[in-house]
Amino acid sequence: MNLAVNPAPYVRSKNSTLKIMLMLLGGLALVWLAAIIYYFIAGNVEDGLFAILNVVICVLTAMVTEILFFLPKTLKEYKENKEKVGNICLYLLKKEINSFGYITGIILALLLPVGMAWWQLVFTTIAAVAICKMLFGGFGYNIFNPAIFGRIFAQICFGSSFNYGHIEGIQEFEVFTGPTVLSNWAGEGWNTLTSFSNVSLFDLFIGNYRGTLGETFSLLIIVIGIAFVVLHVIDWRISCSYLLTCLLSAMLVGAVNGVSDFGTFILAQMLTGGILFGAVFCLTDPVTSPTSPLGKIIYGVFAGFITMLIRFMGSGAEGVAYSILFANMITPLIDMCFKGRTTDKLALKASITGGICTLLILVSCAYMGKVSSATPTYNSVVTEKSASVYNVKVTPFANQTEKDAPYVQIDMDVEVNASAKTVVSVTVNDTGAGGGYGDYFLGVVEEMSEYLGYRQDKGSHLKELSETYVKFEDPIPFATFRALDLQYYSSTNYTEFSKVPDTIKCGATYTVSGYMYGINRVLDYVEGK
Amino acid sequence: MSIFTTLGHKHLYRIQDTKKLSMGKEVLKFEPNEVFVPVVDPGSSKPIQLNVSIGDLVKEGQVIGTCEKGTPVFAPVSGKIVREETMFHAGLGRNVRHFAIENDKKHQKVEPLEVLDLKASAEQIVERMKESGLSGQGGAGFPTYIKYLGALEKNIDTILINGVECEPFLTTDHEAMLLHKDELIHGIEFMMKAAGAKDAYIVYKKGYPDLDECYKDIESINPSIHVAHVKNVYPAGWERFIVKAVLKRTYDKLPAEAHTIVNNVTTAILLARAMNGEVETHKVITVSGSGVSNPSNVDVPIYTRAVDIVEFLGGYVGESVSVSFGGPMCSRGVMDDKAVILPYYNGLTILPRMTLNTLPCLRCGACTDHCPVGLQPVEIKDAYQAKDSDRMMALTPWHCIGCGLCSYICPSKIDVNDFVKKAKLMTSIKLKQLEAQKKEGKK
Repeated sequence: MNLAVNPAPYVRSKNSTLKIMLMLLGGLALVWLAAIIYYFIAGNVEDGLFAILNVVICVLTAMVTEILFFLPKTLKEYKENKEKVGNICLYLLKKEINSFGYITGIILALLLPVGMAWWQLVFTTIAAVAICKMLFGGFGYNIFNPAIFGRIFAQICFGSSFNYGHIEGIQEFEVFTGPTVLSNWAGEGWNTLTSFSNVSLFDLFIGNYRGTLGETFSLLIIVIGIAFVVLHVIDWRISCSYLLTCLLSAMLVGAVNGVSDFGTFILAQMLTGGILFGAVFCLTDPVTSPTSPLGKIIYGVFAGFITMLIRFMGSGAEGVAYSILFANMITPLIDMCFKGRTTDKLALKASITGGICTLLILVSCAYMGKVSSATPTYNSVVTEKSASVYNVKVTPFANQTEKDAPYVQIDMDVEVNASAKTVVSVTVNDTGAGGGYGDYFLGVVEEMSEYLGYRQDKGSHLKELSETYVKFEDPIPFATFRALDLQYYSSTNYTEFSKVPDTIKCGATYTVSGYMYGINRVLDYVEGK
Repeated sequence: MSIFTTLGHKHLYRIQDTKKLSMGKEVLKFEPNEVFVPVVDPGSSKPIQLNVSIGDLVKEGQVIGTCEKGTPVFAPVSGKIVREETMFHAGLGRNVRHFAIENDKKHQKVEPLEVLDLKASAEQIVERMKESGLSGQGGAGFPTYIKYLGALEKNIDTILINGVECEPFLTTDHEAMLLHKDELIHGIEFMMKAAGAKDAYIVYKKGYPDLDECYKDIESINPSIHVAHVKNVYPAGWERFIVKAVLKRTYDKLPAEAHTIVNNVTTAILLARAMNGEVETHKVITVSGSGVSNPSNVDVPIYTRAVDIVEFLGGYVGESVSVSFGGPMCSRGVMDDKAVILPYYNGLTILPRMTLNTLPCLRCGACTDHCPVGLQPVEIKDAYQAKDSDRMMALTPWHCIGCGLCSYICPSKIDVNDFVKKAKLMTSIKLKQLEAQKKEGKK
């Protein structure tokens, strides 16, 4: 009889790292499935195929990269002991299955938008897996979350390709371009919630809008997150402390800035920008988070604070990825701070945590007070060009800093039927300089089309629409449009414009209301004559 | 408060199923042909003071020798001491001298000790605990009389009788509670007398209707003895867990600080027998696990070799097994199955060899989350592997109770508990040096 003398205990939990990772993979696959369905339904076949291909490319690249890293050692082992290794391909595959490169691949693919080229995806994945994971020693030894590292790498290197639904090489769809819902919102001022980019709160909740591949499906992610907590795949302390901190910050910003629709503001803040995806799939990565229960709470609070700090005060609205990277950095520090037993000096530790939280809240109050809360006011100058054509120059954000004023000055000619007091045509001479106005331009086209009785689905037939009704003589400088796209907007076949309200509910940004404001001032001018 | 600290326990998978292997089965009786009495002190491993020599005839219950502190070693069977043999000792973990006694199976007993009843003074009861060699039957073998020395001055108000038996597979305490209710109550009465306690609680896990049925009338028999339940978790049988669960008290080093004494149910039963003059020569142990053909509870003389018991039950199953004295969670596997059953062992767990697919540490913190003493096993493991003694000292691994929950829970199947135990060994040496330095500094 052969007696085994491995150390006690002789019964072990049936749970295993592989099981945890496969459950995680299952959750991610559900999100992926939702993305595929969404892109096939809301986009077209190409969109859907890209949603599938992106993940496949990232996962395969991640696995191949890791296998290449395993290869030298495996060959050496094979030379020394052929029987132990057996089939070298199976051996490598087994190593890869226990190294979980595919998890990194799928998370990374879900963190990137569909519009990226295949070589960009491959390059990003190699950078994430090779630099951030394998060079540190492989699974279990990395300091940063490789998927988040990859996402930031892509944002820095291929940021111009982050078009969220724009697909390279397909001309008809190039018009649907622009930043995400969140950055759009951030650009317009945080209290403009009810009028951002054609997306309702319910859309945000179920994921009926474009963002990165996986982060938009809030409802699904919440359900998966709860299931993960129940199944002990993720630690609830991290997710909950992170989400609570974000919620608290959003509430503070809302309260300090006095937004009109408080509840909607908070919900939309929580549902946009991948906060939920980060809280469930990225921040909770056990390898890069602290081990002690209290440490996990501090980690979550810290990440939440950084997220909201970047969102409200930073240059880019998407702070989730950076905040996770920051939090990963302080993980060893948090772990080192916890000495002795976790049950020791519990009151002290709890009060320190409470203190940190209170401090962060106070700092939040200080910084969030600075967030712009003013409703933009418009200045306009109407001049009569001819009997029926009036020129109007609109300066939205007139109450903001001086340097903004010329930035968004709109110059347009409005042709009016004076007897019927309606608009016949609009010719936009200048949309104001600056990047990122391409989408506002589209917003104008769409909003106008609504009042022309030709309400269209987003993104479709815009070319035809703009050819028919609105003339833009001056191509928009630095906008995300190309000259090629703009050549379509040259026709002068207009129909009648009726008077449109100043504040356009749902779907108009402030810049768009700027156009509407200008048109209405012309109509007022004609009426006053 | 498990938000900031740890859960401290775990519902082990199929803990009830593992117990079903031996629970409710008839207790088998086994008389081996030979027993092997280790002639060393189980505490200090020094040779004991021998009263007999090779070739002598001994009777059941005869004192063979006395340990350093005066605890006697009894012959479990009657027969002749045939030879001396060097064998593996499971408690000390190395080879020591044993006397082989050939069992004549005649059960010739020595004169029993004087029978003491409840009129006996506390001193007499403690003295009897000592002279009957009574040791804690929970598995650690701590001499019982030490707990009761000077107990009257320590203001003990409650005796807790531990029938929790949270280790998987073991069922001896459960069987003993069902079969020897009168002796148990009698033993508890003696314990209360010895400690001057007013109340006693028999503590066992929830979810045992047979025990509930058996002990529902306990307060009508003796109004000061009550029944208390603890959660069906591991390690619910740990002293601190019971004291906290039943009495809502905590303590630093010994339960006496919380005005209580914790004893195993079998200890109480043995005390009742000792007061009746009998000493412990036979005991019921659980031989269970999927590595043995016929798992059951067996009544054997103490100092029977494990291999003999397994053969009696039909032998091992499989080619490679791990044999551990006690439950599978705490006790260390032995490398030699010829080791003998010591008086304080309550089980023999035989399981097929584990094939563990060990992965790098995930740093998930599950071990920290489940440590009942609130240690951070993952951090201790890292510090041990990095040979960072300062960090190890900061993490206080000497608090480890060796419950094995950290290794059990580890999803990467790392032997975390082994690292913690090694760190505990390293730091306890350093701790002693530091304490010695402190003392010198004071002088």
